[in-house]
Amino acid sequence: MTRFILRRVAISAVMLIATSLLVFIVLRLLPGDPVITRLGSTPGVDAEMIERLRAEAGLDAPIWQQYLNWIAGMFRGDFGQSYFNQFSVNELIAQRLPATLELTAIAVLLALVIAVPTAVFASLKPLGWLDRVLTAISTAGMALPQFLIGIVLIVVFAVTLRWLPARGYVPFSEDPGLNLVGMILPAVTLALASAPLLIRFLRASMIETLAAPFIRTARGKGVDRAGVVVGHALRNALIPGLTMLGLIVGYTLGGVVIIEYVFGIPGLGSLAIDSVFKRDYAVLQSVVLLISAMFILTSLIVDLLYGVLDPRLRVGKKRG
Amino acid sequence: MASLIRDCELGRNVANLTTQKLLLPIMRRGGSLRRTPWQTWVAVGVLGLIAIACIAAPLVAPYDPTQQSPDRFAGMSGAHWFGTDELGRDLLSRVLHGGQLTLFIVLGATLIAMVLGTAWGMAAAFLRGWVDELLMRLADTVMAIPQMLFALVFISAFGATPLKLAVIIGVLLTPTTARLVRSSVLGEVQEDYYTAAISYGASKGRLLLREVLPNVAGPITVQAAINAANALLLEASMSFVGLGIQPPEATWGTLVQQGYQKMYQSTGYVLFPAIFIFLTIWMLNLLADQLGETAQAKGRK
Amino acid sequence: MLLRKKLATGVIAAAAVIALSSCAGTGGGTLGEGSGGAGQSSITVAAAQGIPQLNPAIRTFAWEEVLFPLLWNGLTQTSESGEIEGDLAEKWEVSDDQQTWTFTLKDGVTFSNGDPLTAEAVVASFEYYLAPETATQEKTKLEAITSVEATDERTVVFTLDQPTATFPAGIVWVKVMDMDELDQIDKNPIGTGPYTVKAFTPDNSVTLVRNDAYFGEAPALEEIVIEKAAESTAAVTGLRSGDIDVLWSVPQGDVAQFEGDSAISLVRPDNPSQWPSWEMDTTSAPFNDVRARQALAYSIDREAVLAAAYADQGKLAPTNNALGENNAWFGGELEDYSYDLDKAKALFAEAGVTEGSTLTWWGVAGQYPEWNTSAEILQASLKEIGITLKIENNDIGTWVEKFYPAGKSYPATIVPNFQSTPPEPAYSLNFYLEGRCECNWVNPDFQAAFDAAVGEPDEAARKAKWGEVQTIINREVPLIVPIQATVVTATASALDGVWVEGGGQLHLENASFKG
Repeated sequence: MTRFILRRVAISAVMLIATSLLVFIVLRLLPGDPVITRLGSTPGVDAEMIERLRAEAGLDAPIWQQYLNWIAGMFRGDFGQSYFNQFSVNELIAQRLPATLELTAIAVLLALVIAVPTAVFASLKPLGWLDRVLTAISTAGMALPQFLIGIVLIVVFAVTLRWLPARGYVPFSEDPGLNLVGMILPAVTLALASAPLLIRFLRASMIETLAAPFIRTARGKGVDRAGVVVGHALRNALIPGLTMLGLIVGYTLGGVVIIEYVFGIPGLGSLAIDSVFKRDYAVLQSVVLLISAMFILTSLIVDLLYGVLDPRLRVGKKRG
Repeated sequence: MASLIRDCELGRNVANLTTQKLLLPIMRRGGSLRRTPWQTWVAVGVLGLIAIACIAAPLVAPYDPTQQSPDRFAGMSGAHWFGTDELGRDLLSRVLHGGQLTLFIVLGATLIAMVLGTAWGMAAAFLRGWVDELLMRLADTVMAIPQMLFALVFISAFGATPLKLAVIIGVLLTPTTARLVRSSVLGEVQEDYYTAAISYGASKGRLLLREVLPNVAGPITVQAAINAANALLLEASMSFVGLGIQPPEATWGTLVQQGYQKMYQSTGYVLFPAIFIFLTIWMLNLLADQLGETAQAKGRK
Repeated sequence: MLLRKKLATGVIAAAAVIALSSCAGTGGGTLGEGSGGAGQSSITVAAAQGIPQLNPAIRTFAWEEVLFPLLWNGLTQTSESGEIEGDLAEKWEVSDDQQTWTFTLKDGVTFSNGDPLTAEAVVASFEYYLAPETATQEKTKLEAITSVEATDERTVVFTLDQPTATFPAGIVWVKVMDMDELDQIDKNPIGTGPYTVKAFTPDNSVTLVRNDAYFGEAPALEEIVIEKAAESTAAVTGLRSGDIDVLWSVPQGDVAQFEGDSAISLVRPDNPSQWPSWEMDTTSAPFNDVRARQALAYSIDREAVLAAAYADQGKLAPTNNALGENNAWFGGELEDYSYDLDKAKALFAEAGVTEGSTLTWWGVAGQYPEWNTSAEILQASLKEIGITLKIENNDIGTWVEKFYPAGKSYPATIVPNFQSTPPEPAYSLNFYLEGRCECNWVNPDFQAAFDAAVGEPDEAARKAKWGEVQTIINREVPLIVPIQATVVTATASALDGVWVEGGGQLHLENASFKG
């Protein structure tokens, strides 16, 4: 067991390093640079000044040097400095992280709230009309890109019905009520985007479990139907669902990039988009790495939990 | 959403868990065991219809998609089924012509992902050892970066011509494809016929091309449909944040983005391209499901 | 069984399509009630851009200028009617040769941290703007300054190396900062303006609160929140629902829907001086030939550009002039470049741009939809005379690198851009000077005429001299000015006192709720 955990942690660490390298190299492929973008098109600036500003920002150092500086800084807990203002990357991320974490958490929770009951109802009578309807809806739902779901929700609930704001964000600490109201549409968008798959997966898993011998035994023992479904089948069906949850978290984290843009939420995703447009490498590389790290960490936790919950998998099986 | 199907079915498994083995059978079993070929036909039919309409756009489309007219933001009418845009261009014609470009990007990306992914996966499965480890770790690493973010950076770096978009999206879809191919091939080489053939001294390469590849064609085809859906989704999302194909050229994604900007002037502008995107992804998912069932059924035989 | 299944799926598919269409079908929406009303003392202001930093000298994006009148003061300022008046300066005097300017500061001005404003502080700020290592767009207006000195607590003296009658207008945007606090400017900016910064999330929002130490009349609003609304449709929705009180630079196409909406007022500058500038490299073929530039000027269907690209929010510029026709200094013997493809074709042919030639439009991706539409209109026009316009839109970093800074060569390429300038020609037409305009245009006659105009103290004589400058620009067509664009700002109609400068700078310092 210890070996399994150690191996998993080591793999995650190696992946993090590889990710940082990849991110760094890809970003340096971007044409243009932060200095020129920062100058906008301020008239009367000459090439000399541009060179000087570049040197000030440390952009004239060799690329490997810049990479090492970045990594070395990270070990000191210092992600670097934005090229555009006096804020450190740490500060910028700290400003944006809460919104992203909150949005992701609410969205994943909502997805579960939508998916679990739906899957349970669908699985009660496989191929029954309810199952068919729910399956059809979820298949269609999977075909909607996140931003389209967002647009539809904005049009319905913000533009037409005027029940909810189309955009904007209020920090939780400032006004919890307004904060949650602002989170509704983006969180529902992300949840609707990931729920269909969760439904499909849980449904299949439930049907499988309901057909298993131990369920029949439980029924035979006189446990009532609801007790069997919730107490026995669902619990067992949820264990493989754990892996799925990890994937959903990862998917939602990826989705926030677009959704934060659509709904004007100041999170890591919108920070990433802003930084791409401004060529603010220092910020962008750390944000991409951070989001990837969150994903890698989620996978790690899910795998470790899984290892604990399912003894069959504890042995270090060959990958395959 | 397509990306999630792929993620789930085909394993973004970072651990030693084989999501593939764990999830695929479960997902495919339970319930929908009856084969329902009509759904395949519907999917193929709708996709074919869209494809033909787009490819034949110069013949089918009622107007030249660049023909401007003073009739700006016209609503739906007999003359303009989908209405017109801010320059009075016919939206139906723009959607159909835009579909050509969309089709090119989606098919191009899928092709690239399939070719690269198959090579990558096969190399890993056959060479095993440290090469396998290295290739798969690389795939995991690429997959750990959210695709949207990665696409955003790549497109900013290289620009957004149709060819570049196809390559970038194709490359982004490669690692998952590679993972699938690798595990399918591994499953195959553990089969009796393979071990038997090897023990009789058959050449590995020959077996690979003659026996293994045809046998894993099923899952690869499913993956191709999923990749196509995913490519369309990525392209549309990139267009939506303003990084897709640039006007005056337009894909469905570009049209949705422009239409959304002008939603208050014309509703059809955003609606129709969105429906085309939705329908296409839906049908591709349906197709993937059906093909998956078929492959599964064959596998059981 | 099979039939039922078929039916079910069919119904759902239909339902999905109907739901989708009915949702989007209501996009026209009902009109908003607006927000506001008595008692409200906080407003939310939105724009498509974000504010990345707060230093007024190294201003990165135009939208940052909204903060200028709220946080800072200059020696002078532009009034709503376009006059130059004292801001921190109580009065000023000029020597007869127009080269020595003496400003006297108002008494009792303090910075938001309580420190008194001194002449030394003003000098320190100017020195910062003038320092070679400060990249500021104000620099071109300040070039004539050779020295700035504090002669006593309240007097600042400028010495110039050439007569500049328009000097007070040139320093409006030099904002006086507490230079000791410069290294904290993004976190705790210290200025003398009516507001101070309470919270700042770069690229997302700035929250301002009233500065109790402000020397002028206390502003009516307690709090101003400035937010980024990247998605214009969402921003318009927010304005209609009252989540947003002021929306700066409304997408031109959205303006019409607000007309006649009683809940929303539209604010336009009295004297628009924002002009799209399409630049070509005038040092390489074909645009090194003045005939090719004139031909391009003739091939622009300015009416279509104004109507389709700018939704009629602006004025035609048939003489290709950066100054609008209602600008007080507009004049000269100006050629009319109204749409004429025959002339265009002939002139292009003389310059060697024959049928089958290709020009490139180098635009920006994802932003400025009006540029795209303009490009498409130009493309259609050029197609008629056998010239292909290849439209390439890149993201902003790639875009800017092609032509900036001035001096780069980009043959046969048209780069759309826009200039937001004051109405004063000394600070708008100076864009044509050597080393500034990326069109790389150098013309000694223009230079001489420009210097003569700037140094002329007599207004009537100056007007004539500006006419000569405009005549040269008009004949030479160093760049294309298709129209004068109006920046339209929409506000909740309950809001009063919001105004916009000619170049599009939003002024909120006098904003208040009615009643």
